Parts: sequence; structure tokens; C-alpha cells
Amino acid sequence: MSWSKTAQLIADQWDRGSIPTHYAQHATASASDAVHETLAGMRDEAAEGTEQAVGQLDQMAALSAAVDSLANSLARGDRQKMLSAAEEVRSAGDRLGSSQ
Amino acid sequence: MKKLLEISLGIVTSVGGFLEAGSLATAVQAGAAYRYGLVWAIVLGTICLAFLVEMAGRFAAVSKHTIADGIRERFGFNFFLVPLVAILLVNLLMLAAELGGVALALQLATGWSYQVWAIPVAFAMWLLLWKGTFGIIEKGVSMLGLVTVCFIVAALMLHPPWKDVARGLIPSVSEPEPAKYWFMAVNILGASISPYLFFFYSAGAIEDKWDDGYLGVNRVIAGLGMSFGGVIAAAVLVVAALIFAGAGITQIESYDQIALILTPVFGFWGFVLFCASLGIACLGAGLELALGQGYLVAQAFGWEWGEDLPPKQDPGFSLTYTVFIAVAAIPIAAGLDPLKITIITMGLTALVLPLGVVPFLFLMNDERYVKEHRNGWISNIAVIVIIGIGFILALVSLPLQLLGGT
Repeated sequence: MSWSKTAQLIADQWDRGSIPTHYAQHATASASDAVHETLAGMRDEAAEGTEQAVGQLDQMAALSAAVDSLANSLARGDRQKMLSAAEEVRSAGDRLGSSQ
Repeated sequence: MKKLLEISLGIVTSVGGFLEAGSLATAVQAGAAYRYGLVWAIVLGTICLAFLVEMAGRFAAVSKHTIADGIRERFGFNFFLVPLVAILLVNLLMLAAELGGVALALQLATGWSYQVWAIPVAFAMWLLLWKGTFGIIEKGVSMLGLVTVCFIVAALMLHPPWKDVARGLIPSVSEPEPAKYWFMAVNILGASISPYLFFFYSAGAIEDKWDDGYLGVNRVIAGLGMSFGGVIAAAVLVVAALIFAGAGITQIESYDQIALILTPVFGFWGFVLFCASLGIACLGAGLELALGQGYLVAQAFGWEWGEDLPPKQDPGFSLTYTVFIAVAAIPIAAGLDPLKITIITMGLTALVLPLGVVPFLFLMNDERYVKEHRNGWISNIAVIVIIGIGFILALVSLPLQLLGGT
């Protein structure tokens, strides 16, 4: 969750012009990798039958896809798509948070 | 007037040189994960460091020995080998972390990977030591390090809840994930009380030719300089609590996250200030660590040493820091994460601290070295208790944390 929140903060700060684009791109790519790792771990746990992981797998996958979309739109420098991806990260994160 | 100038300069260099990769990273992680719950660890570490630095200066001024010289002479070379090897290894890891910190600051500023910067940074460090004087290393870089005062400004601008901050002065036994909490406390203590700091300080006092007349200067510099430095580290923790924990970022695993710490307060200049703070603080600490390795080895083997001497007059000393810088650059160039190196090293530092501090305490109570300026019971007890706490916490929490326990 910390990495998805980091991705949101990066998007917000980039939109305000507070951080350079090269850093924002690199940091969101790191966030994307970290969320992928968490998702992979959760998939393993779900495969072992851990109830909580099974219940949260879909929300985690949605969060991961949203962070990917944010990183991709930032890599392309597409501000509009990045802002809507940041919103999607926020709501996917909220859904995951409420299921915990 | 001259003494007053020296005191001011000493305090300024202590403040500017206080923050480095370890104290920065551990304070950010602690603030994000436990808000103000680990302020006490910074306070405890700073108190202990102030005592140790004061002792190191007093020892050098009165005995005209560095700590390493004293331990070797008093206990023999074979005994000294144990703390020497342990401290050299921990310092080497710390040097790699600082070198990585400078490389990361350059990555943040330019977009080029820190791996690319590892060798140029190592070369720049070496060149500064090869060509520079002790004054440039000690005072020049530390003066630039005053940029880290921006964390105090940021903390004040964010209007922290001071009552909550004050509550953090007392350790808590009810924090979530207790193994992580105590591991972070150990890391903060390790970052605050790194052995290289007081070993380096005693060598610096010899380089600056201190005598009995400097005891007052030394006391003021150790007390005020370290206290102000501790305030900077506490400010980093407070800002991290407000920015990161406030945004729901409780786990800090990368400098990519830490780099955001000042931007919500200062905008783009926050990013610039962070890069400058990280780069300068790590450069200063890296130079001191590399010099410290040279001092330790040269003093252990009785070689000629002195940063103000041309390298051809102290070849062993110069070769030592050259080799350590080159070796420290390898893991960074190979892509090891500097933050991970930093965190592991801080825990190990707390574990090896007694090896350097206990024999030093014996020296500080030996009239043959410090004459009538022996330690009082307050100094002895304060240092023994804090080092003991750090050691026991490290012994318990390091394995728990490495095994992934909570």
C-alpha cells in the first residue's frame, strides 16, 4: 500500500511541477515493480489457500493495473491520462483498504 | 576571541556534518512507520554521542594520543586487532552506503543511474583526500552541510503537534510490529553513535594540535554541536511523520520515496534541497569515513599519518584510504541498493560499538593518559547504559528482523 500511496504523491507533485519528469518516471516505475512484487506474493498465498489473500487478489490486481497505467502515462508525458490513472490508483487503494 | 571563533566554527561543522546516509534514512523510516514514537532513540543516541565526542577530544588534548593509539598501547596490538577489524568492516559498509548516497543524489538530479556515478564519485572523493587538507575536509564540506538545516525549517513550517512529539520522548511498548520498532530504534542508535565519529574526532584533535587549553572549547563543541545536530535528525523524523505517514506511506524502502520528503513544503526547491542535502551530507561523511580508515590502520601499525602531509610522506595512510574507497565503490557500481546497505550497517554498528567503546572507557579512567581529567561517574554510567541498551536491542532485534518476525 505504501508504494501505491507513493505513486499518488509522485503524480500529485509532478502535476504541480515540484519534481522533474525523469525522477517521476523512474520512481513510478519503481512503484509499479514493488506493487507487482506484492501482487505476486499475494498470488502465491492465494494458491496456498490463504483466505485473506484469496479475498483481496482481485482488488490487488486492480491496484497493480492502475499503478502500471499511471507509470505508463507518466513515461509518455500524458498529463490527462496520468491524472485519471492517479484517481484510479486512489479508488483501487481505497477498495483494497476497506477489504482488509 | 580566537577561542570563540573556534567554538563557533566547531559547532557549525558539527551541525553541518551531523546528518549522513544512516541518520537520514533511519529517521525517515522511523517517522513514516511510527510517527513520533522513536524520537527518544534520536535523543538517547545524541546524548551518548555528545559524551563520547567530548571524551575523544579530552583524551586527545590531554594525552596527545588518538583513541586507536591509546587502545593499542594500553592493551597491546593483539587485543586491538579485534575492535580494529570489526570497526574497519562496519566502516567499509558505511563508506559504501555514503558513496551510494552521493551517487543517488546525482541520479535524482540528472536521471543517470547511481551505478554510473559510483566510480566518478569514488574518484572525486579520493582526489579531494589526495589533494585536500584536513581543514578543507573537516570544515569545508561540513559548512556546505548546513544545507541540512532546511529540515528544521520544513518541520517548523508544517506545525507539528508538539505534544505528540514530546510523547515520543518515552519509548513505547505497545507499538505495532514490536520487532520492527526495536530494530528501528537500534538502527537509529547505530546511526547516531557510529564509532568512526569519535575515532575521527580524536584524530582531528591531534591534527589540529589541541592541548589542555582546548578542554573548554571541546566541551562546548561536543555539547552544543551534537545537540543541534540531533535536532536536525529529529526534524527529519518529524517531517517524515507529517509528509509520509500523513499520506499513508508507512513503509520506506527506497530513496525514490525519500526524495519526496521536502517537495510538499518547498515545491521544486524542496527537491533541489533534498538532492543537495543527501549529496553533501553523504560526501562529508564518506570523506571522514575514508580518512578514518586511513587513521585507524596507520595508527594500528604505527605508520606516519596526517591529512596535511603530502601522500609521499605517509604512503601507508594514503594507500589505505585509496583502497577502502575503491572497494566501497564496487557494491554500488554492481547495483546493490545503498538504502539496504545503510540499514543493515546501522544495526551491525550497534552490535560492534562495545568493542570500541569499552576499551576507550578504560583509557578515560586511566590517570596515565588523562591525568586529573578522568571521567566522572555520570559520563561513565551514561555511556555504559546507552551502549548496553543498543547492544542488547541489536542482539535481540537483529535476528528477529532478519528472520522476518514481528
